[in-house]
Order: sequence, then C-alpha cells, then structure tokens
Amino acid sequence: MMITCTINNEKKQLEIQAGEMLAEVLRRYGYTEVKTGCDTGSCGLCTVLVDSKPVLSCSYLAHRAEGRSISTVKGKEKEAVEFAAFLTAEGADQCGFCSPGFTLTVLAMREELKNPSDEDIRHYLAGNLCRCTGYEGQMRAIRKFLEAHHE
Amino acid sequence: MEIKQLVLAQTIEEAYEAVKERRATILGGCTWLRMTTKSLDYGVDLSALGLSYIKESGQEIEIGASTTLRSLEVDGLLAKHYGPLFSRTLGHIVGVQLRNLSTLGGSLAGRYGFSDVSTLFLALGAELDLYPEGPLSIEAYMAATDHGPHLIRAVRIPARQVQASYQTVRITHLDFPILSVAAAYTGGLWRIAVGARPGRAQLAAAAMQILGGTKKPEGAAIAEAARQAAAELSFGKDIRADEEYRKNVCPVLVRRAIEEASR
Repeated sequence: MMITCTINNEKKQLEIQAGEMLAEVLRRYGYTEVKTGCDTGSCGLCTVLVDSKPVLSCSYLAHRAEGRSISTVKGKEKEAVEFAAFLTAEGADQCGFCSPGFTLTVLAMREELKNPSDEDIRHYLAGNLCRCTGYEGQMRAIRKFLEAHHE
Repeated sequence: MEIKQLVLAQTIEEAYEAVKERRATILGGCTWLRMTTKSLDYGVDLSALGLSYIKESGQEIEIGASTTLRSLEVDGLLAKHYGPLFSRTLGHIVGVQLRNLSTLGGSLAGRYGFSDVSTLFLALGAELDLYPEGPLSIEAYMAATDHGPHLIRAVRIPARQVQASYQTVRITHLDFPILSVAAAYTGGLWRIAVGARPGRAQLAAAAMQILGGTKKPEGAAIAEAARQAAAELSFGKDIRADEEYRKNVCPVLVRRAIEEASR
C-alpha cells in the first residue's frame, strides 16, 4: 500500500507492507540515522518524532503515518548539532549509537516541559538506554543545553 | 509483524464486523502485540475511530479506548480529580515514547497479569463501554475467561475527588511489577485491587469489607485488611518472584496503599 507523509519537512510517498513498522520503512528509504536496537520497545534507539511527539518507530505501524509529519534527527539537524556540542563538552558521548533517538527525546522534552527538574529530566529520558556513559555526563549536558536556551 | 489483510476501520460497526465475522485481531497501540505476534491473517485498526479523548460527562470522566497512556499521565482533568495518581502509576511503564503509543483499551483488553493499568482501573471501579453489549464493570470484564467478540469503546471513572494510592515492587524502575496494589476510597467504600500475582488483577473483596465505609480507618483495621488481602488471593511463580515472596509482600503494599490513600 502507499502512504503519503512528511519526513523532515519533505512530502514523501512510501510503499509499505501491512503490519510493517515505521523504523523498517524509514531505514529502507535511506533514513539510516534511525537506529534499531532491542526490537522490543525498550531501548529508545529508534525514537522519531511523529507530529512532534516522541514515539518508538520500531513499534509504530507504518500505515498510521499517513498524513503525519515525521522528524528523524536529520530533520532537527541545527538543534541536534547544537546539543551535540554540549554532549561532547561533558564527555557524554562515546559510541554514539543511542544519540539520534536520545537527542530527539531531549528536543521533545524541551518543547513539552517548562523548567524541568533533574527528576523530571530523568523520568522523561528513562526510555533511552545508553550502555556507554552512565548518564551523569548526559545530565550535565542537558542541564547546560536547557540553561543556554533559557537565556 | 506481517498482516495479511488490514482494515483501517472507519466505524465501530465495521470494526466489530471484522472481529466477529473474520476473527480479525484488534490493533490498538500494538506495543505488546508486535512483540508476541509474527503474523496475522486479519487485522483491524481502531486508530481512525476518534476514540482518543478524555472528557467530563456529568458525574463521570469518559476516556476513549484509543487514548494513550501518556495522555492519561499528563491530562489536566484527571490530575484535577485524582492528583498525581495517574502520573505516578503510569510513569513506570518503559518510557515516554512507548507510552505515546500504548492505549488504555489495549492495556485492558489484553487482561495482562503484569498490567499496572488494569490494577489501577479496577481499584477505581471503572466501567467499560463495550460494543455491542454496552456497559460492564471492570471486575466482570477482568474475571471473564472468554468474552466473545467485542470492542472496548470507552472507559468511565468517577469525576470526583477520589482518595487513591498505587504501590508496586519492581526489580528496576521500568520493569514489570512483581506485585502491584491499588487502593481507593470511592463512593463511600474502599476498593483494593492486587495485580501481577502474576495473574490478572483481582479485588480483595473480604479485605474491602473489613474497611467498610470508614474514610480514615484505624491502624488495626488496616493491618487486618492487609492480612486478609494476602489470605484471600492466590499468588504464583514467574521469572521475577515466587509465590511465597508475593504473598509476603502483598500485605505490606496493601497497608501502604490504604495508609497513603486515607491521609
């Protein structure tokens, strides 16, 4: 079946199979910045924004993207590059495999939560696993990123 | 997941027809279904039925079956009547990205033993609006082994200040609960639900009777109700804990839930 949606601000027509998940479709169409990891809805690697909300693309039926706006991390490149500088400065990025999904969740959180506490941030990002960093560097980076934007 | 034939239902009648006549699998949030199912002969998607809403209607709050768990977690109307109950209960479920997909209807229809959602709604005395049967209490729904072809259209809970508490024990913050307990004082009576036993959630009816209609029960009554809940319900073993552990944890969580709800 064919669906029409917007991906990273470009209108696209995609041929999909019934039951196919959005992550598979996006990667097949070259959006390989969408990573897949656990394939059980647990790790957050495959996070994309659908109509600005973070969702697990490994668990999102692709046909439901009809008429919707999807952002991968490349669609948020300006903000992602800016955030990456904070991650780098805090030593919070190692293998980088979780970064696309993690970054999108941080950007969604920035839109959704006003002045989040550390507990709010940890709660919002609990669905993004990182096996390298231990999260403390990421917390410092997020806090500084949010503070920079607050000013 | 492969779906050989997919229908994006435009009306609830069309969805029901697919379920009844073609034994179609209902596609709700699909977060659990896609992990447990490789292939479906027939799937019917409810996402176009306009069942994603939370509204106050007279003495009730009506929640559409396709409403996501994240919507319940952050909804202002629910927070007005129930305080932080929904955000605390649902915030344990994996992550925001999954809760933006998982639906209330899917969580209840699965009658999952591990479900935080069914334990909470059982304690709140929810009423399910089924198609085509109409209203049914959640305890009747949870107790049924085979309900026949049906759809959950909406769920209703009281639109009033309800004293309630949800307690669980888990290996990690985001894991399935080893045991879950919800207690609520609603409509002048206490309701105590225990889930993840590991079977589906059940009410501890005799324990509820001990508390009766007392809004702020005494410590001795709470302790007795907690003991009774563990005595009257059955517990089992799974990968997370054995029967004895659950039976010992149960009165602790019941006591905490009643104490918190009656503060």
